Amino acid sequence: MPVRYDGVVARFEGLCGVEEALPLSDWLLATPDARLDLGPCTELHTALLQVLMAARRPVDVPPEDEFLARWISPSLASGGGVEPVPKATSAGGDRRRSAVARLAGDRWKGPA
Amino acid sequence: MSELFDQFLVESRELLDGIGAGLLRLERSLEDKAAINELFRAFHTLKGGTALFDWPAFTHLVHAAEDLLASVRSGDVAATADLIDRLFAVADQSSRWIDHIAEHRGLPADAGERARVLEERLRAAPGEAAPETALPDAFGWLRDLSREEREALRAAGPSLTAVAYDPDPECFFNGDDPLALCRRIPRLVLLRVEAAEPLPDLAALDPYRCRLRFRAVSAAPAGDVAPVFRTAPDQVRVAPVPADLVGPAPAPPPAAPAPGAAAMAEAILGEQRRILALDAAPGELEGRFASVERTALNVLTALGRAAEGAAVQAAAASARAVGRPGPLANHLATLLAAVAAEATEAKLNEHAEPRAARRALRVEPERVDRLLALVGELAVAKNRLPPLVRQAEGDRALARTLREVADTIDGLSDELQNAVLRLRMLPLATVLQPLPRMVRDLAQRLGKRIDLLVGGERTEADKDVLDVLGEPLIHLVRNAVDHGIEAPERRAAAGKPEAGTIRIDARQDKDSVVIEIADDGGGIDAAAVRRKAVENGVIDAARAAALSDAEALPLILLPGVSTARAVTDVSGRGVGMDAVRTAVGLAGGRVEIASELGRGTRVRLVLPLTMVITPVMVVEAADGLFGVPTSAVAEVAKVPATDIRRVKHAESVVLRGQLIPVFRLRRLLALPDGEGGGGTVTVLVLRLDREPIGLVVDGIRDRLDAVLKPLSGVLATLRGYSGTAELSDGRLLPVINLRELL
Repeated sequence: MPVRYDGVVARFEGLCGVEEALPLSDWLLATPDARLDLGPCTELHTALLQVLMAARRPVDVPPEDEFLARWISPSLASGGGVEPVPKATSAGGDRRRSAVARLAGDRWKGPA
Repeated sequence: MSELFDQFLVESRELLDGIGAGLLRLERSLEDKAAINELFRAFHTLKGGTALFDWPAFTHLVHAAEDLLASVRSGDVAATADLIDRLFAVADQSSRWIDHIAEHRGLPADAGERARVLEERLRAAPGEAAPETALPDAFGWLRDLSREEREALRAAGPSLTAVAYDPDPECFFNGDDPLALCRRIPRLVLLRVEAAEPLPDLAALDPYRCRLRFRAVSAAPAGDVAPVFRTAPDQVRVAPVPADLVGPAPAPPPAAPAPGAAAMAEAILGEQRRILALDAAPGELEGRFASVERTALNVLTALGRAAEGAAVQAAAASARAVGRPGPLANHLATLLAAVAAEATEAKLNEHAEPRAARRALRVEPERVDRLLALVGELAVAKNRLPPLVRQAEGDRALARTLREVADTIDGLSDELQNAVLRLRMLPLATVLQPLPRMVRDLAQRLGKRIDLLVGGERTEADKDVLDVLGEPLIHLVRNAVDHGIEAPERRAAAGKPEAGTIRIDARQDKDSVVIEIADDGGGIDAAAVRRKAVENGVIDAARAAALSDAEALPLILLPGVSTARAVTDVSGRGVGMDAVRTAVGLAGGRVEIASELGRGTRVRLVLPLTMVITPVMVVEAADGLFGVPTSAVAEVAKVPATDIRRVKHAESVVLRGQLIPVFRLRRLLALPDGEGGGGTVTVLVLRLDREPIGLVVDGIRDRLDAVLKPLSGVLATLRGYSGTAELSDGRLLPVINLRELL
């Protein structure tokens, strides 16, 4: 899935298409303290952008993709990436440390 | 830094010269697109230069001029004489500032105020507001761009395309992704994603209805942008961006990168990094960070990257916090890499244009003179070889070898001398350049219309000759504007075109430079010249009457003869032409004048190519040798001694039916009288200004190209000599100053 939900973190990876719009919207509504990691996102569908704009949630990691970083980031609220991140609730297998984890330091390790 | 500063001074002066010339061209033909483009580029580059230093007033002013030209270029503002006047005012102010900066390393205190006044004049240009209405409603947003956005647009180039894309709310169902389309806009300069109407809360949002709209600007032509939206042609509008929208920016106007600025910025940033790496006492570091930070910010502004300034400030803050230059130095390294890439790109682009990459070498004149003096000494040393060759006659093999060596050195020293003389040659453009502007201003003041045509700017002459030439040229051109060209009504009445023409032509003629100033004005009344000359006692009435018109005209070159009826503030005090004659004469040249009443006047200045080398005739008088500048000698005649007739104290001779007054060199130099022997005498016929004069000498020995050395010490008071030359046998040859002597 191009948008990976890992506890309170939604991580956008690669090509994120229109089919993600509804799940994203639902997830955001259900996750008041959601954290957004757009770092690895290379293509963001307009529908997703619209959802993110309406959600007005801070983006913790801006997209690395040049086009998105330059033109989309201004439309999105930027997050305080160095604020303490709550402990992850996920027991998912993905142990790769995302950019959010790097920003949050050692506190983001999750239960082993 | 000081080299950059010097480079800035030199380059901005060149740019301003170019701007002056460009404005004159534009004035001649208000539709001259090439001139407009050149002017735009020149102002743009000048702005880039000023922005590298901290002179905001200068940058603002030049920027305002650039803006105005951008509007002219896009056709939104028409080029008018008035507009050209305003731009001239900016160029003049810039020149004054450059002079001030060269001396005081900064702008004068009133710079801000002056810039403001001139900017207001520029902005008052008519027609600027007109295109507002031409803008389709869909592009209203272009009017309220932020400063950064405007800056980005200006940096992107003159012809921009605006895109207003309002996707159909149902477009997601057609498989459209508007954002993906926008990503495909070529050369995207600006993209705004906006909600068409305020977005509802997430809970109320239908994620499958598109409520966003897109506003974009591309540096690509509309023809390249439109095809991107071929799946949604009804939802998009594409139009060129009117230049004036990008134009006048609120103060302080941001600067767009100038060509060449990147390279300069690279050098400056590199220097800042070096400074950071230097050892410093702990107390000094703080100040150093601040200065590096300020410089880097200025550089970014100059490059149109002011937005990146915050990162520099942050890096400087970190450096201050840790008390080490590390963070700031690292950030500079990053900037440097980015700027270097830009500089390389700029260089590549430069290659595409056929621009002369070669830089002229600037050498202090003193160094060339020193070289020339050495060459002169070499020539004298070389002249001692022939006697040695003669002494070696006893040993034939040695003599032959010596002669060969002497010949080689001879040839080489001649070539060397020529080469050094060439170094001193400059194109006449340097003295011709101020004339167009002068003619324009004078003509405007006098209410005349004058076309000035200048040809042969590339003709070269020695720097000293050019120095002499400047003043006379200005006198002559002023005369032509003031007295030559008539007022438009008079010209019309005489059946001439209302605009007069002054033509200046320079060319090389053997060893001379010839500069001709011709006008198609009223001409000089030879009768008036005669009358005035007689009134002033320059010539007696009988002789004046005997002169033909062509012979009478040169009288105008003499002191006190000027035919202008009224003394104007421009010219006509009766000293101008005399001054011209004197100056040109001192340089070993002459003035020729021809005029036809009602048709115009032509003045020709003939000057030696170089004053360093004077061709002289070596003449003999009472066993002494003297030099006479060959340029003054029209012919050499041998006449029977009895042909020289004496009337009272004055002697004369008739040559080819013309009566020529004759002087004897022996008498002029107070040498003992005596005949040259035989029944014939040698007469040099000299042509100085007007009538020929005969000079009797004992004989002619030789001709040589002499390097004249001025007389020094007590001898310097001897006005009859212009200097000395060294003969091949080491003897000194006094060279006669004919004008003083006669």
